[in-house]
Amino acid sequence: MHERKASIVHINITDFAAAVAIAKQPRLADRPFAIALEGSARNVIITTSRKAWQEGIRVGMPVTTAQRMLPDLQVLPPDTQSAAQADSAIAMLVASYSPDIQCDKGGHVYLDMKGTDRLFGPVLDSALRIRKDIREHLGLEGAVAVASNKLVAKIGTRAIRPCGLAHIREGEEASFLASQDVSLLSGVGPAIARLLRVAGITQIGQIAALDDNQVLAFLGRRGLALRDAARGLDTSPLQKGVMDKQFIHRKVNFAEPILNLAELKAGIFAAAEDAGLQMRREGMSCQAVQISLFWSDGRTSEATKRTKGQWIYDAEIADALFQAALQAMGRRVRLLSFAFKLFDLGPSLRQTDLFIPEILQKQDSLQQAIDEVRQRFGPGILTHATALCHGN
Amino acid sequence: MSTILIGTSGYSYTEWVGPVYPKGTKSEEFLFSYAQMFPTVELNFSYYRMPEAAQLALMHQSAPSLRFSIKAHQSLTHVIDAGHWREQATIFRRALEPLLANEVLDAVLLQFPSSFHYEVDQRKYLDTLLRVLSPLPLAVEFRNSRWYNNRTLDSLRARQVSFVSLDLPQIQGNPPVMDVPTSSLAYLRLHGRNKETWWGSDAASRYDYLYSDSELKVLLERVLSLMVGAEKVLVYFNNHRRGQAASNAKRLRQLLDASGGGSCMSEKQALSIST
Repeated sequence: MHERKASIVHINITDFAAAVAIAKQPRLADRPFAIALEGSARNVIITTSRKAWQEGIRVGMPVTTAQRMLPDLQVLPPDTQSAAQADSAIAMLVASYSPDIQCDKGGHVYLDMKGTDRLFGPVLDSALRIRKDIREHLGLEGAVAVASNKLVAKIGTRAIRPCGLAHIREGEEASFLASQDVSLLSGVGPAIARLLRVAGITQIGQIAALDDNQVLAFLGRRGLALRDAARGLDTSPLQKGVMDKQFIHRKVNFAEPILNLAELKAGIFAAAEDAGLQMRREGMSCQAVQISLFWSDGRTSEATKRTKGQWIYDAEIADALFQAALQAMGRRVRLLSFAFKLFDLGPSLRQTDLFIPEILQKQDSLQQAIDEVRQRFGPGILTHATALCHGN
Repeated sequence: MSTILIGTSGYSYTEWVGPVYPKGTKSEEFLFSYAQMFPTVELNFSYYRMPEAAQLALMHQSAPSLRFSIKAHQSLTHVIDAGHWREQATIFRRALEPLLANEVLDAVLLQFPSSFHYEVDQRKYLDTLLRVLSPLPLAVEFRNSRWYNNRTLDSLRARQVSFVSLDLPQIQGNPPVMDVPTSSLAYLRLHGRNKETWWGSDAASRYDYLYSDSELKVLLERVLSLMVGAEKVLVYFNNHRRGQAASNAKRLRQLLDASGGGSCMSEKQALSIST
C-alpha cells in the first residue's frame, strides 16, 4: 500500500449569486430569497438561496409561481457587479497559493498545487486553508475537492455541494465516480440524461463499463469521450488567468472610408469568425460583445450587447456584433475602421450538449466541421457569404 | 451557536492507567476519572456486547456531566441476520432509555464495514434500519468508498442523519476524505494515520498513532468547517493505544481554545479547560 498524490484543487461556491448576496447582506442568511431578472419577458428564478431551495423554490420557476408557493419569498435583481467583485477577490486570494490557477466565473476556481508541498504542506491542508481564507475574508462558504484532474475534482465538489470537503486519491478516480449520479458528469445534458435513463443507466460507473462498440452503438462517436470521462480520464490543462479580465479583441481598418452598411456587415462577419475560432479553441464562450466605430471626422461611438446565456457560434457572435454596430450608427459620416471585443468569457457550457445524439445538434456539428477545416487549411478558406463583400 | 465536543472512542483501557488516569485508578473508576477531563465519550463496548439499560443508567450516574455517543451493536452493522436484526434493534434501542431520559445521548453510531457494499439489498436494509431507529440521533460511518456519493449524501440529508467524517491513513482501500454536514449533528472520528499497520495487524497496532501538532492544526480546520452546516460537532479520537487518543483530544481542545473557537464549546468543556 502506498500513498498517492492528487494536486488539483477545485473550489465551487454553490449558488454563487445567492452566496454573494448573503455575504453582502448577512441578514439574508436566515431568509428564503431568490434572484430573478426584472423586466424580462418571462420572469423566472435564476438562483435560489438555500433556505428558498429547502422550501421547494427551483431555478427556472416563474417568479409568480414561486411567490404563490412562498409568499415570504424575497426576490432580488441580479447584482453582476458584486458577483464580479467576488470572483476577482477569490482569484486574488488563491493566487498566493499557486501560480497555476484557473478562475472561472460564478465562484469556480481550480488550482494546481503540484510542487507546493514544501511551502504549504500536503495539498489537502492547503485546500483547507484556502477554504478558510475564502470564508474568513469574503464570507463565502463552498465545496472543495482535491483530485488528480479537473474533471474528477469538479465532480467531487458537485457530489458534496453545497459545502464540504472531498479528497479523491490518484488512481481511485474511477472507483470514486462509479456510484455518482450520471447527472454530475460534464457532457450529460438533458437530452443525453433522458437517453441514459431509458437504458437504465443512472450511475457514472455504468457508462465507464461500456466497451467501445457498445458506446458507439448507443451514444455515437462522441460517446467515447463521455465514456473516458466516466472513467475519470482528463488531461486538460488549467486555463490560466482570470477569465473575467480576459477578452478577445479584433480591429478592422477599411482600405477606403466606407458609407455602405453591407461592407461594415461583411467586415464584422469576417472578424467575428476569426475571433470566434480563437474563443472556441480555448473552450470558452462569451456573454457580452462591444463594438467601437471610428469615424472619418475623428469621433468614436460604441455599443455593447449582452446575453443572459452565452454566445459560442460564429452566427451568434456576428449577429450580436452587428446589432451593436447598428445601435452605434446613426451618423452620415464615413467609417474608417471598427474594433470589437468579446468579453465576460467563461467555459463553454454548451459542452454539456456535446454528447446529444448528432441529429439534435446540427448547429454544433456544422460549427465544429467549419472550425476543423479552418484550422487545417487556414481561417480564410471557409467563410460566410456575407463576409465576402469585405474581402473584395 | 455551534457546540464542539471532543472526546475519545472508548475509555476503558487498562493501559491508560498512568498516561491518562492517575496511577492506582481502578477500572470501575475509569469513567468518573474520564469525565473530569472530557465532556463526551463514544461508547464502543456496545458493539461487542449488547448494552443494557441498567448498565447505561449506572454509567450516567457515575459521570452525570458526561455526554454519550454509542456505537451500535454488531448485529445491526456487521453480522446482520435478516430474521433477527429487528429484534436486536429493539433491544438496543430499549437500552438507551436512561441516556435519552436524562438527555445525555448525542449520537448513535452505525459503523458499517467495507464489506457492506453499495448494493440494492444493503441500501434497502439501511433505509429500514434508519426508519426503525428513528428518531434517535443517528450517525452513519461507511468504510466502503462506493457509499461516498451524492445520492447517499442526499438521502442522509433527507432523513437528517449524520454522515460520519473520517481521518484514516490515506492508502488504497480506505474511503476518501469527505466532510459533509448532512444534519444538525456533525461527527468526526479520528483513527490515526498508521499506514504500516493499518492492514493485516491487530486493532491495537492499527490505532497506534500520535497526531503531531501540525496535523492537529489542520484537523482543527476540518472541525471548524463542519460547524458551518451543523449545530453540534462531535470529535472522537480512536488512536487509543498508550493513551494517545486522550493526549491528542486534550491538545486539540487547547488549539481550539487558542483559535478563539473555545467560545463555541459547551459550558462544561470550557470549564474543564480552565481547571
